[in-house]
Amino acid sequence: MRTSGLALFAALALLSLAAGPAAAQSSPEDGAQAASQDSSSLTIGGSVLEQAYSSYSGSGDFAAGGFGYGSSTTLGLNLDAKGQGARASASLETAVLDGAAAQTAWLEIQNGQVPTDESFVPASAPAGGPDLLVAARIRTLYVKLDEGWVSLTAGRQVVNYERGALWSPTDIFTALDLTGLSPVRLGSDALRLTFPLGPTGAADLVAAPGTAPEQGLYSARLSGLVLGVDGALSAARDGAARTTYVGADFKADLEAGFYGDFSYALPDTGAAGSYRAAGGADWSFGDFIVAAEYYYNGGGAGADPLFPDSHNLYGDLIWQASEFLDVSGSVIWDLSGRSGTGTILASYSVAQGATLGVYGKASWGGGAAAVGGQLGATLEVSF
Amino acid sequence: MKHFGLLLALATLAAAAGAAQSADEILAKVDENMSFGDMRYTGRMEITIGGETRYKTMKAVAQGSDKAFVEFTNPEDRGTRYLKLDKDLWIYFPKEQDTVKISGHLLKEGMMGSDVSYEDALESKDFHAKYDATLKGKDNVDGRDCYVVQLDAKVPTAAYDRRLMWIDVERYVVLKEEMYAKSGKLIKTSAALEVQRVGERWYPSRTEFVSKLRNNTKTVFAMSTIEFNVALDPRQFTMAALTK
Repeated sequence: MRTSGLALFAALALLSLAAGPAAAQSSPEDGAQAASQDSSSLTIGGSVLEQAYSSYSGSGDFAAGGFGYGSSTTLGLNLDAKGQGARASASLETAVLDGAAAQTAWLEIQNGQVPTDESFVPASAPAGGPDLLVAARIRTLYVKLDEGWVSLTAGRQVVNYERGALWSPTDIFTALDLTGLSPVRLGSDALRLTFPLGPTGAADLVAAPGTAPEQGLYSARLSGLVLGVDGALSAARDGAARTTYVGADFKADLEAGFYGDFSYALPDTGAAGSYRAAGGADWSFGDFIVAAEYYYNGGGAGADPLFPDSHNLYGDLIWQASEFLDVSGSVIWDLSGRSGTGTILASYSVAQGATLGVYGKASWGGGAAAVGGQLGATLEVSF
Repeated sequence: MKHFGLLLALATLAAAAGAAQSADEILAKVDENMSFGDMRYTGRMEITIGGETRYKTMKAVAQGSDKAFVEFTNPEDRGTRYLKLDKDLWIYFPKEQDTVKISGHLLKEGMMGSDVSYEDALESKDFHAKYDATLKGKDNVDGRDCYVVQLDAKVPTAAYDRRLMWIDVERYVVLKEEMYAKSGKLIKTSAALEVQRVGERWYPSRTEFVSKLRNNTKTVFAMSTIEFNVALDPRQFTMAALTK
């Protein structure tokens, strides 16, 4: 877990705002007080998530073994402190991983596949990995200053330019974490300056200088609603990759929702440029919501290490079986590399603030472990 | 005889015109009650299936029929915000710091898993602008005399194709309603459980919605601290406010 000076500054601001004389902890029952935008407030919330599963990983020869059992307990804490014209926010997570969950995470550490905002204890372990692992991550930790309606956000934040459900070629800041049951967008340590342009428009400048400004990421984006189409134009610079990007994205509503996201990369080396593009649609009928998305990566692993192949597909179907029960199925499919993952999840609200989930997850292709799968259950309690 | 037939036809037309006018007048008075300029309230949705109930709390502001801003405050959804501008709707998810534009077809879906659609919750009830009204007769609801008025959609943006309303003859509040799809199928009913005097108007502050497309479910939408004609900052209805 790498935490920059920006994130530390945000942490100090959070403590400072929380300690203010007008700070008041909210009661979950009293929504109006918790959400008051007019006065100083401190809101503390979060969740505890318990997950247990059995897993298989191997070549498909089940007699050869490869079965395991894992569990994890995750505590998520969200803190939000508001003052006059200032806000500080933090989203923190810590998890205890057992058995196969610890060993899988350990394998990901060894392969360099660990999300950049996550760290683990112990840092070393015997061959095969530890039986128990503690993970911690700072998802977000930022301070936001508002002068009129111009805002400056500093610290770890999710820049989130994305239009689609999964891929966003124009967003060079936000990495995806696909290790969980649903995709998670990771925060970046950045400075963000936003100027509103009318009710639906904005000019947005983001800088993530890192430790060496010339190696940092920078972008400028102009967005707005034009003739019912939510659209944006952007330009970005990746100092480390010595590449400049121009891009555009949109979402239009023609009964069904249609969206697209396009980015062209031009390297300093004089080599030929490459482009990445994503497009998709969403639609609801009866109790079902369906979304489908296609992603083309013309830049290979250098442009997108997580999806290095050219043609990729994402599909998602949600069945709202009742007010308390959702059943969803999703698939991410690398059409070129012939690998993918599929997840089916049923979530039931068993009590106020408590959700029970049952899921199955399968992966195929993409290396020595040709087939993998999980069957598991989750229980999440929000507070 | 020919003339008598003509007179009868004219009298029928005149009576029909009179009834239509009467329905329009009733609806105009309902609109006076239900439509608003600027409005602010805190709300609570109680979603029930069988004997199980879950609640969601929110605070909301609205400006006419086109602009609304809602922030959820219950633990599971805390900080989730909705901005509706005309027919466009955006949702902000605080954990992901993500603003998503919602497609129009989702406006008819249940809001946060309830029987209350986004249109039910976020629109000003300017019925005259969207429906033709016909007076169908009179009835009694929970001891109160009501006009029964049928509304037929005259614009495609109307939330329902046909509505049947039981309107309190004294307070001009809709005490009971049936909403129908184009096919004629009953898709939802609502009933005012509490009617509150707010300034010069009567307003249903607690309404029960029952989806007829699902079994044994209902949602009670309760509004408290309702304020009309409050001075709202127009910047409240902007994308910038979603992330503020």
